[in-house]
Amino acid sequence: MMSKKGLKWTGIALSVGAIGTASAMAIPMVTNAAPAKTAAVKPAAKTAAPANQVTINLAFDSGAFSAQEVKAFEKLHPDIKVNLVTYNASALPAEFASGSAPDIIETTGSSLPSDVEKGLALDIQPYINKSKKVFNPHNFNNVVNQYRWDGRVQGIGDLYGLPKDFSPDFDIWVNKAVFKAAGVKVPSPNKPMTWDQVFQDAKKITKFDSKGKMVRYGLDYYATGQAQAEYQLLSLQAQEQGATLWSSNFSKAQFENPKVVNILNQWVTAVKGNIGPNSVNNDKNFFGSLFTSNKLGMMISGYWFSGFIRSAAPKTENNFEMVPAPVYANGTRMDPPASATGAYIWSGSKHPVQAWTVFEYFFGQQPVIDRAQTGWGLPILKNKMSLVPQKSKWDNSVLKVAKGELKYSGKLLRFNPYVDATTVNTIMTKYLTPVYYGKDTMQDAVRQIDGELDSLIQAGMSEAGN
Amino acid sequence: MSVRGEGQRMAIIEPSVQSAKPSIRVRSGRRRRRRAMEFYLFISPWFIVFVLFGLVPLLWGLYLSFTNYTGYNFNHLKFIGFANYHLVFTDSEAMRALLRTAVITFIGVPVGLIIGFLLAILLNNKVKGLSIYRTIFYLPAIMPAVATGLIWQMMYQTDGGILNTFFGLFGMKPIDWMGYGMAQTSLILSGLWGAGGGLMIYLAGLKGIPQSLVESAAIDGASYWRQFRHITIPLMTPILFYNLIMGLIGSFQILVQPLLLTGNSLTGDPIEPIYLYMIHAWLNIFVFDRFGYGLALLWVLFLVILVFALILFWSQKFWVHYESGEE
Repeated sequence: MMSKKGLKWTGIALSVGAIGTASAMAIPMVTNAAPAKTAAVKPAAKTAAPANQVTINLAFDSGAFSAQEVKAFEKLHPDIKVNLVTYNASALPAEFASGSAPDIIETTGSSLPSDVEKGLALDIQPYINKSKKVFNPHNFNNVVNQYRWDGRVQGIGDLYGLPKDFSPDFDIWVNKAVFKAAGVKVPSPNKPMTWDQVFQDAKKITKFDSKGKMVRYGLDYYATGQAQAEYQLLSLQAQEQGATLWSSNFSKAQFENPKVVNILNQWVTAVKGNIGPNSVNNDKNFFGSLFTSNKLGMMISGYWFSGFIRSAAPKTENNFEMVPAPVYANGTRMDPPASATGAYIWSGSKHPVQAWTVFEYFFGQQPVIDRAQTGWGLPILKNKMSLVPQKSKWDNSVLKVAKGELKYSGKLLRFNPYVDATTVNTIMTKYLTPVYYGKDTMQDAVRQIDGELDSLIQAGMSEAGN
Repeated sequence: MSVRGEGQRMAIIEPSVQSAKPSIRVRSGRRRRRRAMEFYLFISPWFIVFVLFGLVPLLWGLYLSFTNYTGYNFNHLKFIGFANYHLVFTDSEAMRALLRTAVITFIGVPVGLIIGFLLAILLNNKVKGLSIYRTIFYLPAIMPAVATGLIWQMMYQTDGGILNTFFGLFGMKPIDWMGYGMAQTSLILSGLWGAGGGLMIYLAGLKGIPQSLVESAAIDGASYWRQFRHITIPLMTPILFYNLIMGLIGSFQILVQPLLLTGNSLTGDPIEPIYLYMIHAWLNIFVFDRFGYGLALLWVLFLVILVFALILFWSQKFWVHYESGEE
């Protein structure tokens, strides 16, 4: 058995060893504070890396870009190594503060103005101007304008990022079998329904059995997986009627506008009628599964949903059709992208030129072709539109509706640059949920929504120096 | 022996005693320093980690709670004094959330304590398959919070949820577990499944009850209930007290379960009955980018928990019995 002295010195040696190990581990943690990063791709280098090789971190939801695309890029640009990391919104503030944020960061069209006002997004207009071979401005689909911001109006000004692809997002996907089972006439793909018709048909389709178990729902919305009020959808419905959720300079919220209140009341009726999954029935079933298993009649979604149907229900795709986005009677037709997921280059990137090279490739070259061919979205470059799936009659019928909607996708939704979409949706849910349960009035709810949003807007404006 | 001889011996002895005294002092001083160095070396791994990853972030958070930090304005922070703390106490949302959290804590923690204690009493017997039961009852306490939240989400789903499907077999109509009327109860119930977490400590305490006391009481004619009331419970009060304090601290900080039970994501907004204080802080920091205010909310929570903990510590003189008589 070890002596007391031996035990003591063994303990000291272990302590020193533990300190040394902890210090060695702490050094990369201190210099690269990104707790949730996962490096998905580390292609094997066959040759030694060039001495001046720069690593560019590209943060996006996993699956958006592939290892093969990274490899192909690195072959073309051996001086740049691309590191795909998983986008993590919660970790970003710490990464920005420590100077270790990814060089290219995922965002959405609805958040882009906010990203610019916070000083996070680099103005890439000068780079785009020099890159006419890849990004000819006449070749951009008008959705690209969602990434323009002049400090006051989204849609004009310099580009601060680009979408990776897009869809007019407010079309209605129809499950014909469900409509037939409910005895409701299947809508025509040649003309839009009205919103009143959508809600009425959804109510007719919705069915619960005698034990209260759901047989089928009438309506769902892809962005939340719930048939209830949501920021982008509400913005569309308000703007169709000439109203808007924000004052002209975005300094105040206007949820108390009577037209907005009417729309919200429609959604409250929809929730109380249980026409779809919502926060009251707490149905967590995935909307895609509900739709393809004939438990959902209508899905508010875009062209990209055809990619899901091709992969999840290829044999029964003819059961599903896309019809144009609904419009209010006497309203203006609109069908823009709800959020057009894309990315910006971080203004604090230590290698903006190399970051641009990566950005240009992933958003303008071979990956654009790869994505277009999957049918999971329309390409932002007009000359790549011919690459989307057009093999079957079904592919062509869906594409025909999508192309027809493009002329209504130019008018953008107004997103407040001082409060992002997640904030608005959280506040809406907070004050509307009591109304869904009958615990509060709509008047009270919208007053509180405006009050809380106004105080956040003021803080955001003060931070932005406005 | 002559005195002179003694004196000579003393004269001979004294110088060596005199020279030994400084040598003993020096030796003991060196030994003390060495022992101190060993002490600091042994505690250094924990201490360094605590300072780097505990104390420094805590103090940094305290500083940020006095600024206008939004997560993105690090380079132009402004010191705003107690404005965030003033907002905490004038924010009715925060105060209502704190009250709800307190209600759930003062109901859920004692009930959890009682259930855990009774489970331990049951498992403190010689029963076949005892180790399997102990494992089953303890397992929920070591499951990750997110996994637990997702499991209970499936349990509570109104349509097709596990509980409603089970009750449906008996002809019962679906219960709206996460509706306004039931949400708090459902949250407390989901927390109770971790009541077995204190099992190991309770069992250790029960094993420590001297059998001689129990046997003496039995010989004197005390019934099982009297033994339980006058021997078991008093001797278990230190452990009950410890679990009560830990339960109080944990319950005031509940965050993940309410978010996952009603929301679809961690940026979701639970319904009002389970919109708890930590959720208010979480949303202010990670959704509304009000980092400074959110940190002030957390520091206020710390003070609230501290006050309740101090009250509990003061109360222990009335009901906690330590065998040694010391506290």
